[in-house]
Amino acid sequence: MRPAVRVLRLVVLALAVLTALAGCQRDVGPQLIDVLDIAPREVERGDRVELLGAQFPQGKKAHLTFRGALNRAGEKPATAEIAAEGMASTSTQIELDFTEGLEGLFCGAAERSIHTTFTGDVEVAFPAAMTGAPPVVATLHGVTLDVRPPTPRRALLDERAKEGNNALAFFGIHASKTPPASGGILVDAIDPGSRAEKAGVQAGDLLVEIDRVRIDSLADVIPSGAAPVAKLTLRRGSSPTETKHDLDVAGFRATPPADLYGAALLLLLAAAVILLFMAPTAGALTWVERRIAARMQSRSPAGGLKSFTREEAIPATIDKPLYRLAPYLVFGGVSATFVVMPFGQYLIAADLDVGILYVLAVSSLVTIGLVSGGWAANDRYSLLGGIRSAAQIVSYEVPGAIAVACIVMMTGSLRLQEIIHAQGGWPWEWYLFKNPVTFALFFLYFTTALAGGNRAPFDLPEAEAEPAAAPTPPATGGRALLFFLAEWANVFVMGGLAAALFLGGWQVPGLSAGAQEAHVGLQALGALVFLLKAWALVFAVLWVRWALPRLRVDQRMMLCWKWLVPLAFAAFALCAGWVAWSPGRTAQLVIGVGMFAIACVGSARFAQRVLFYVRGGHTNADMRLNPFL
Amino acid sequence: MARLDLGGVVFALLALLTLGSAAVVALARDVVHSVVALLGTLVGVAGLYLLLAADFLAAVEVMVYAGGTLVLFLFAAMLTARTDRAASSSVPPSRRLARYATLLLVAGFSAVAIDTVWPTPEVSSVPSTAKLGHALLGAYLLPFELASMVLFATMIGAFTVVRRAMDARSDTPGGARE
Repeated sequence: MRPAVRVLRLVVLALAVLTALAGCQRDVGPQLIDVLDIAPREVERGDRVELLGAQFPQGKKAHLTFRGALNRAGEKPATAEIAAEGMASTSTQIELDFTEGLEGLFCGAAERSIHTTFTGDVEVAFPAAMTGAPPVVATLHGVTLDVRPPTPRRALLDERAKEGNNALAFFGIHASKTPPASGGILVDAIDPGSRAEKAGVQAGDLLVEIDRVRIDSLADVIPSGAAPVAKLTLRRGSSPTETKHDLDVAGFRATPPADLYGAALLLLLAAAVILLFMAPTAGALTWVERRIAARMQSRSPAGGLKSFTREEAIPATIDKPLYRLAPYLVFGGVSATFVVMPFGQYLIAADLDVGILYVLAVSSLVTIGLVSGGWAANDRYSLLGGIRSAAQIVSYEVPGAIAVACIVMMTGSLRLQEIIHAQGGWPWEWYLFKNPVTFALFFLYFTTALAGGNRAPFDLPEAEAEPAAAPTPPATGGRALLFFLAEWANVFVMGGLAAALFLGGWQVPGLSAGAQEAHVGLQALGALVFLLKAWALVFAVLWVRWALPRLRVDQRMMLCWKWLVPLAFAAFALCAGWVAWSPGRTAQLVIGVGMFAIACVGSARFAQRVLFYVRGGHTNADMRLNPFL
Repeated sequence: MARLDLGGVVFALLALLTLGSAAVVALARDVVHSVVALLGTLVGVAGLYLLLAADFLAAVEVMVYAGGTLVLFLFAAMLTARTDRAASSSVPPSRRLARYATLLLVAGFSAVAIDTVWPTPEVSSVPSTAKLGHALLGAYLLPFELASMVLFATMIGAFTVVRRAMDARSDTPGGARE
């Protein structure tokens, strides 16, 4: 009891500190400066934005805060608070360099940055000279700032232009083929009785703005969908004044976002494609495993086709509904992870914003399938097997998820494509060699993946020495095939995720992501690189299976809870420290190359030892086989 | 209109899945069937979250409830249920009392459901994870930390209880190791 009391006291103390911290408030000083205008209103990367006003302290740094809405074509306005650092060059002018980072904050990450119109307020704050005194603050209201990223992705632009075309057709507007030099869209003709006509649009009008987004190209005319009525601004003839019109857009639907709503539909669609991909993967894998096993045990491989031809036999004593459901749960859980598997830049069924979290979520179906499969067999050894294997999966999920969380923390995104983008093509740019902690994390993740997939040396379901054998013993015929496909697909998923998280995914060494997406051949090469990495890891899984002895069930639990979990927590803390430190580009490169060199030397030494033992240790000619296939 | 219709159909299917599984949970004679049916309810609710553009919440719902809680339920059910499957999960002490209580509950819920003006918030399909993260580690840092403290205290409490039981057992001969 005494330790519990001590911990309770600690908890109370921590709460008190937190409350004190939350109680601190920032004071705001009196109005000493004036901000009057911001120029220019249309900004590109590298531009210098000037804030005009009075009584600025010359030569002082100014903290600028943009508070308001980010309007993008086809998206609902997002509220934003963007901080920037400016410099008062004279007493009437603050200069702000519009950097790439700032552009990213306005337009979104480089991947999906698009033309964005900011509407809202700009707050200017000069920190007081005296420490502790409130800063000097002034606010400029009603600012419109049009930000245009220089090289939006070609495919994204085409896609949006297509949507824009759809939108115009929906409104009943025929746009002029030759875009006016001043920007905007010139209306050629209006369909009679169309929504555009009802809104009062006429032929010859120039569309200037829709839903607060300045129109520059077809890609910008997509209504935000935030309201059934879009606010359309246009200029008539040569008059300089702009008029506002209400355009009825109820029922217009931009193509569903790949992120949410469409994901459910895509999931179904992808399932069909995945089956096509998964079956050969699983089939090839079983053949490969038999070959490798035979090589490593110096015997000739056995045939693999016999498992496909078994008749389905359902024992009478089983729990029918669960028996029928279990294989589908296991199979569904595994195949659903293929939806976010990033085979290439565009070779991904749905690049979900919650990507890796989604993988962790659907994998839980597998656990339930395994346990209920063991139960359905209705014999206590199967049940014991099912429970043990589920306990193992649930336990190893903890350090595995923490390892993933470390990578997510270093990337700042759950999206698998962004995790890949945060790495580079060269090995020293991978997360694997980013620092010693991530290097260890890779092996930790790999171990937990082995255990999570019930792979050797954690393969309890296949342990002949255990009284509790497979959780699915009576599964035969088609059902056995489902379990079997799921098991092998799971090995590939394991390899693919590790390749994406730690080995740079589909990135080709020496090519920037932009250069790679410019050419279809290079994209195909990227997919090949990804598959190569994934298959190398799959090979490692098979290798481990035939090279290492199996662990007993209590040893497995001990390994997980007494070693891997504390180690994972330590790694998490170290990773957080690393992110806080964030070494410079050169330091990172030196660390990466150094780690890579050490790893190279290490694996060379390892290969040397293996060769030494294989060649020198035995006189049997069969043992001279190359263990690396 | 197409969007509304599709959303309506998806909503109906998800509601059917949620309520159907919930009915199986309540009515199944085998407690393990009840627990497995709960998976349908959880997935259905996650689907509804997805429909409301709460993608992070949906993923976490499946991960925490299906991946953690449900597996624990399964453990408990399988380790306590008898293998002859005769045990029923629901044995009401008094049928009449249960009937009245249920009727009262249904009436109450119906009245509330009819009276309430259901707001139809603008569902924006912008991913919510980043915003949630900023909110949890910004404005709501204190409640967030408080929740984690409570969970931590619970864990310690559970450990203490188990530890005491284990100590008591190890006193008797032939008890647990350690």
